[in-house]
This record gives sequence, C-alpha cells and structure tokens, in this order.
Amino acid sequence: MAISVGLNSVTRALLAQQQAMDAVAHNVSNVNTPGYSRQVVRLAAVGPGDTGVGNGVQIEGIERIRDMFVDFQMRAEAHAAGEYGARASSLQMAELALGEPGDTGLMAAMDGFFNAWRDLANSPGESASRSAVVQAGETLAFSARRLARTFTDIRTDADTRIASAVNEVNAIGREVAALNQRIIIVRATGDPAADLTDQRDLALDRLSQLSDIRVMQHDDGHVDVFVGGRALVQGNRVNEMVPVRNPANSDYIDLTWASDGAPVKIASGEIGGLLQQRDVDLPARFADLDTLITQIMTDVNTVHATGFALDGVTTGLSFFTGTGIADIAVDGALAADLRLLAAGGAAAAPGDGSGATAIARLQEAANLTAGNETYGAFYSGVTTRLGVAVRDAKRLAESQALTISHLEQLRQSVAGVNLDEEMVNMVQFQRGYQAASQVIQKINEMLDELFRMV
Amino acid sequence: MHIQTSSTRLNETQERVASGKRVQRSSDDPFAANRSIQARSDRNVIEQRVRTINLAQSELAVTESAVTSLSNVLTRAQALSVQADSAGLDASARNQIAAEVDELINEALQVGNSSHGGRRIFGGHQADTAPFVPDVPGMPTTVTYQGDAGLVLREIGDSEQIAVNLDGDALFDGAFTSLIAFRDGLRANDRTAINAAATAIGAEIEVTLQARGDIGARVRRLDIVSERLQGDDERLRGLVAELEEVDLTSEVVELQMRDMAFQAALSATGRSLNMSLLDYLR
Repeated sequence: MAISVGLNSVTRALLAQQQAMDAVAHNVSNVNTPGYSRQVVRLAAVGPGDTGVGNGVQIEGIERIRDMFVDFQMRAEAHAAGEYGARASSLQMAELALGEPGDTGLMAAMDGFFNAWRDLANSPGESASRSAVVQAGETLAFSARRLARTFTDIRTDADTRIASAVNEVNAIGREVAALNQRIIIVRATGDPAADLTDQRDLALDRLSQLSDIRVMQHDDGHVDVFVGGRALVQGNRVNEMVPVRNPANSDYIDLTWASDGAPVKIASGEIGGLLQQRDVDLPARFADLDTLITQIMTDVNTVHATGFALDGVTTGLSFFTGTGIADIAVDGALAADLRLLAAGGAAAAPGDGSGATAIARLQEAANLTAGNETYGAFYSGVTTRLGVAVRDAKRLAESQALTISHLEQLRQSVAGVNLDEEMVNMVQFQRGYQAASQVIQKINEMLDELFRMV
Repeated sequence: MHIQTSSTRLNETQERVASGKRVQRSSDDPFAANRSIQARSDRNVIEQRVRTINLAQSELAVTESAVTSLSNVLTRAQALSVQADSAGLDASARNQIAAEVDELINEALQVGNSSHGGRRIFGGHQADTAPFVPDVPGMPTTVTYQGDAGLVLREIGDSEQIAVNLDGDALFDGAFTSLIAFRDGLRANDRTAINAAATAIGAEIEVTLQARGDIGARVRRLDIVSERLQGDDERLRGLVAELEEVDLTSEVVELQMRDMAFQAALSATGRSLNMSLLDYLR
C-alpha cells in the first residue's frame, strides 16, 4: 500500500506539472492577445491519509492575475480621455475653418469691405470704385456663408460619429450580455472562466471610452452595466440605445432607451464630448459669429439707406439682403446697377462721397451692442476664445492619454505575460516533471527488487 | 507611447522650422494671435489711408497749380492796368488792351472750369458740371457760379479729414468781377473806372496768395500724417513678425534636441525588445 501511495503521489505530480505546463503554453500563446490576463496555476499539497505522509500535489485552481483596482481606475479615466479627445478634434476643425491669423479669413474680408468704401469716398463717380465695393461686399458675404456652412458641417460630422458610437455601444452591450450568460454557466462548473472574463473586460474598456459607465459585479460572475443611472446590461439582457431624429435640433439624433423611450443621460466619454460639442459649444460660438454678421448687415443697411445714389435723388436702399450669417448677400439690384450705390451724403451732390465715408466709419466705431466693441475687436475675441479652448482641450487630451498609458503599463506589469517569467516557469515545471518521472523509475526499481525476492 | 510622443514633438518643431511660423493657428499662442489679428487689420486700413493721402496730395497739387494760373492771369492784368493808366493813351489803344483782357477772362474761365480725375476742381460737390458760366461766351458781362460750397473731403485717419478743394465762388467771383470791370473801363476809355478795377485786381491777387498759403499748410499737414502712418505701419509689421514668426536659431537647436530624444527613444525600445531569456537558455 505504501508503494502505491507513493506511486499515486508522483502520478499526481506528473499530471500537475503537465497541467502547469499547459498553463504556461496558454500564457505564452496569448502574449500578444489584447486584454489577456496571465493565468497562474495554484499548486497545493494533498493532506496525509492514514500513513501520516502527504499524498502528493494537486492543482487547487487556475488563478487569473488581474488588478481589479487598476481596472476600475482605468475605466474612470477612459471616459475623460474619450471626452477630451472628441472635444479637441471638433474644436480644431472649427479653428481651421476660421483660419486666423491669415489673409483669407473673415477679418481680411471685413477689412477689404470697409476699405473699398473708403476708396469709393475718394472717387464716388468712378464705376471702377463702385464695382470694387460690390465685389468686396460679395467677398464678405461669401466668407460669412462659407463659415456658416462649415460650422454646420462640423456639427453634422459630430452627429454621424455619435450615431456610429451608439451602434458600437449597443454591439458591446449585446456582447457583454452574451458573455455574462456563458460566464455564469461556466463558473457554475467550478471553472473561473478566465478567458471569457478577459473578453468581457476588454469590451468594457472600450465601452468606458465611449461613455461614462458604472459596472456592478455580482457573485455568480455576471456584471451589470449602468449608463446615466439606467441599466444598459443586466445579466443576459440588453436595453439598447435608440437614436431618434429631433426636428427641433436640425434633425440631429437624440438618444433614448429602447425599453421606454426615456432620454439617455450620457455626461462624458466620446459620446458625451460629441454631444456637448454638437449641441452646446459649437452652436454658442456660431451664435457669436452670427451676432457679428447680423450687426454689420443692420448697421451698413441703416447707413446706406440714408445715403444717395449717383443720380443724387435715389435714397433708402439697402446694401445687404438676408437674415444673418447663413444667407447674407449683396442686394442684386445694386450689383446690376452700380449707380445705385449710395456713396453720396446729400441730395444732388455727385462729387460728395460722405455717404461712403459714413459706412467706412462703422468699422471704427464700437457698434456691438453687447460689450461695446468694434467689429474687429469682437471677432478677434471670438477667435481668441476658440484658440484658448483648442489649446486647453489638446493639453487635457494629451495629459489624459499619458495617464491612460501609465495605467496600461501598470496593468501590464501585473496581468501581462512576461515571456522571461514564463520561460523560468517552463523550466521549473519541466524539471518537476523530470524529477517525478525519476521517482517513478526508482519506485519501479524498488518493486523489481521486491518481485525478485519472491 | 514615448516614441509616439517624441515623434509628435519632433514633427511640430519640423513644421515650425519649415514654415518659419510659430503661430499658424490661434491655438498655437492665443494671446499672441489676438494681437496679431488686430495688428494685421490695422495695417490693412493704414494701407488704404496711405493711398488716400497720396491722392489728396496730388489733388492739392492740382488745386495749387490752378490757383497759381489764376494768380498769373491777375498779375498780367495788373501790369496792363498800369500800362492803361498812362495819360498818353487814346481810346483805340485802350480798346486793344481790352481785347487782351478778354483773353485773360477766357483763360480765367478755363482755369475755373478745369477738371482732374473726372471732377471739376472748383465745383464743390457739383463734380460733373462746369461751375463758371459766362452769359455771353467770349465777351461775358457776368459770370454765374453753378457749383456749390461743398468740401471735397478725404479721410486720412479715423474721423480725421482734410479738404482738397477750395470754394470756387469765393476765389473766382471777385477776380471775374474786377477783370470784367477793367475791360469795360478800357472800352469806355474811363480812367477812373480803370483805376478802380486795378485796385480790385490787386486785392484779388492777395486772395490767391492766401489761398496758396492755405493749400501749403494742408500739404504740410498731410506730410506729417503720412510720416506718422509710415511709422505706425513699420511698427505693426515688426509686431506681426515678432508675434507670428519663429526665432530660427533657437528653433533649430530645439529641433536637434528633439531629434536626439527621438533617436534615444527608438534605441532604448530596440534594445529592450532584443533582450530575452530565450537567448540564455540552452
């Protein structure tokens, strides 16, 4: 009996070392798998039976080496990274659209416009000067309209990205729900379901970039995922997010829950950042530009109406048509008949250019009703605020990326597969196997001795 | 990750060196960009003001030249009046002088009705119509002024204006009246009338002198403003350059440093990738 107990022990040893080797093989195979946590075999001695000597080794379990706290921190930082990244990229597009400082932006167009009126004041009878004014007006109008279109395009781009991000959120939700199901089943059999859990964690990492989430772990292995206080995933069920077009918001999408149509509250993450840009930040900056252009249109039209055309009689005409930055244009009647341009300041005075001077002086006066600034100072302020916002967003995004990178390194140092370590383990288990088989050989020789005696 | 950061920083420096610009977008340095945007705009306006000043200077030169012509006419008439006053002249001699005075009147009319850049320079705001109309062409008894007293203003600064014309009526009315009176006096062989007209002509010459002095003062003012604007423009150009452009020397040094850092990051990564226990196990 004693000998067979010995044999049992080493047999167990052989099996244990083999299984341990399998674990090493698994780790090594997955050295490059994203989200993989290395698995470690826990060996334990088997307690003594009747003989007083222990009964060998057994594998108590396969442990998944993972630092839950780092995971938690990672998800806490990931949504900020997503949000800052989205904000930086959208604001940068807006800044490119403005193109300041430069010669082709709105500032240069405004300068050109008022300068054209100054030149007209110097030669009110000359058709070349009149033509130049209409040209400059059209350039200004075109720059304004183009800016309006670009801002709308950036918002629409954000909307498209939100839609595709929501698709991804739903897909991840379904994946997590399915994994939850399988994990529960597998864990019920005693298997810790390490690989499935790794997959689920990877999915949750990506999800936490898209939106701010709260993850609740349950004892049977499944997780619930909450967004804005509502459950996205509960066990094996998904409550998907449904995009609904909102005609009150330029037909951009609102996010609602499939179960009851209630609005989804996403505060952060890529989706949160994009929503903020699309619905709050960009419209506010655009509104500033609209205020500027509308003020210019109103002021110019008011002064122009008091001026006199070349015939010295016609007055009361407007220069610009349209309601604001989106549709500003030079009145077609003026473009068609340049003599109608009101350069004159008094009736029947063809040599008087004071009407044109009055329009040019609008550039020098503090006309903006809010804040008492000139057009140029106001516009420069808008540009500067945008520049500061871009710079800050870029810095935040960069520093957040650094944080994430450090956390990732921390995670890798705990959970990542270190090939050198695995090589050492491999040698270890190989030697263990060799030693166990040596013992079997010796026990065999002892049995031979015994049988020879008989 | 550090390779990426080093690479990005290296690219940024390369871009700055290649473009020569430190501030290409507002976010590169928002407060410098703010000042630069305003400075550029100020320069655009100054450029137009300089154009205006150049125009005003040429217009004042033309006006001055016309006033000089009028002055010459009156001076000639004055010389004739001295001649005509001598006791030894008879009616027919005086008639001949009258014929020359008619020519002088016509010349004065030409000067009064002259144009520059499509504008009648002595018409005030009535730029298209000849301001001085003789009742009888060739031998007028009166000249009517059809222009107005409008000032032709040139804006040389923010709400800063200068007139480039003179009141045609004020300048020429007395001249025509005195010249016509002189001619009428000559035809009538009336020495008293001739004397009276001569005095009046003398006074008109004074008027032209004053007008020329007035124009001279305006030209000097323009010179001062022009100089000031040139100085402003130069200063603003320097400001924009200082704000936007790169200091090439320090930027190239930075480029080399970042290049070194990038190489170091690559080298360190390469080395660490190469090390493995597998090399040491049999």
